[in-house]
Amino acid sequence: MRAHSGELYRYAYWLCGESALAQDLVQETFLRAWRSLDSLRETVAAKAWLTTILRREHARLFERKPMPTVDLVDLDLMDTGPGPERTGEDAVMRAAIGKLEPKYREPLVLQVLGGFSCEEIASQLGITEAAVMTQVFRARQKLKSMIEGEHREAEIHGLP
Amino acid sequence: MDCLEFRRLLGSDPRLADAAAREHLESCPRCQDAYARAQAFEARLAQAMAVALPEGLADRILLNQLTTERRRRASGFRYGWIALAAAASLAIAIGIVRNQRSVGASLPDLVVEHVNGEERSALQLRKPVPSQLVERAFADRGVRLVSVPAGISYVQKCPVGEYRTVHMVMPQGDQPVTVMYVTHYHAPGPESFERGVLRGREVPIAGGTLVMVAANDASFDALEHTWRDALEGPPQIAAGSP
Repeated sequence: MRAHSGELYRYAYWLCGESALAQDLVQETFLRAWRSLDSLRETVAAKAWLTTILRREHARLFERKPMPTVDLVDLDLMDTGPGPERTGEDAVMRAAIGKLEPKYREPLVLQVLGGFSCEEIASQLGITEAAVMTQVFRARQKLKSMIEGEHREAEIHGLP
Repeated sequence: MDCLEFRRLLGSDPRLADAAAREHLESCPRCQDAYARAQAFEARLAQAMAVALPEGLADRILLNQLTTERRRRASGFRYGWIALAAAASLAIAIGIVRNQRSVGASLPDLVVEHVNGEERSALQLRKPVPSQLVERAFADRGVRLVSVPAGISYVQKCPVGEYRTVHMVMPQGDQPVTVMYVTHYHAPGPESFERGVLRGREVPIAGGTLVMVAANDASFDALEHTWRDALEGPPQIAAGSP
């Protein structure tokens, strides 16, 4: 449980953009996983299994009531970096990730944070592997484009 | 594989699981530069995605699971052997010796047993939880808070005996105070109690009952006032004054 709670929290965070809600999602995920533990045949598949449960729980919440329409960009994105430079870079990148449409952000988070292959992501999202490859490719292009835009703006204003 | 195809694959899967792509990488200096840039970008991306984890996240999850499992076991639910093994591991992980629930015990008895048993580790939490978590826990119990008191370091919806509660910890100086709001039960009147080294007080507030438990009762008056405001609103609002 401890091994997966951090990864699941971060995945949930990038799904919903809200720390408190992400914690609830992780909590509920483990409760649901607990109840259907018998259906887990291989422990190596636990991460994908838990991720799928979390996605479903997130979707269920969306169905039950409207989620807060918070723009991820406006959130107080928590910093983990060791210093101001690193923190600044992270903030720019996080803001850019927050601007991505969910259809691009979700497979990218699964790939980068979860370490899943395109085939595994396709299976989890119920889309084709080719679609996953296209979406993560475009996600990276959009991020690079947004970050370069930030840098250009900084240059115009004479910032380092 | 040509450079165009390689770059397309690099953007889709920077770890290059594809064998042909790896082969191309070894023989193409320009693509090696692109690969190095892609790896730097991936490192930056992973760093940014790794947002800080909330303090005590795993502990809260374990406590919640244990509480839920106990409730289910009490209701006679039959578990498979895997679930039982997992339950045992869970209990060991938290280091809790579980007590049998007293049948027919009073609310103070049940609260003190709950605090001493399942939720003791919650008393060590110091960092305030987000106010949304508190609001959500109460809302799930059908209670709307007028305001959320500051300094709640732990919040969980806990069944205590047959009572439905929102269980919280509010550190007061060096002393943790367990504050439990029991919904849908209105105690006949305020009452102080002692159980071993613990002091407690139960007070009917709004439609439920607030129970406070700590090593001493020094902060009970202030907490009672705080929670009365949070549940009923300040006196002038409660009285309907402008």
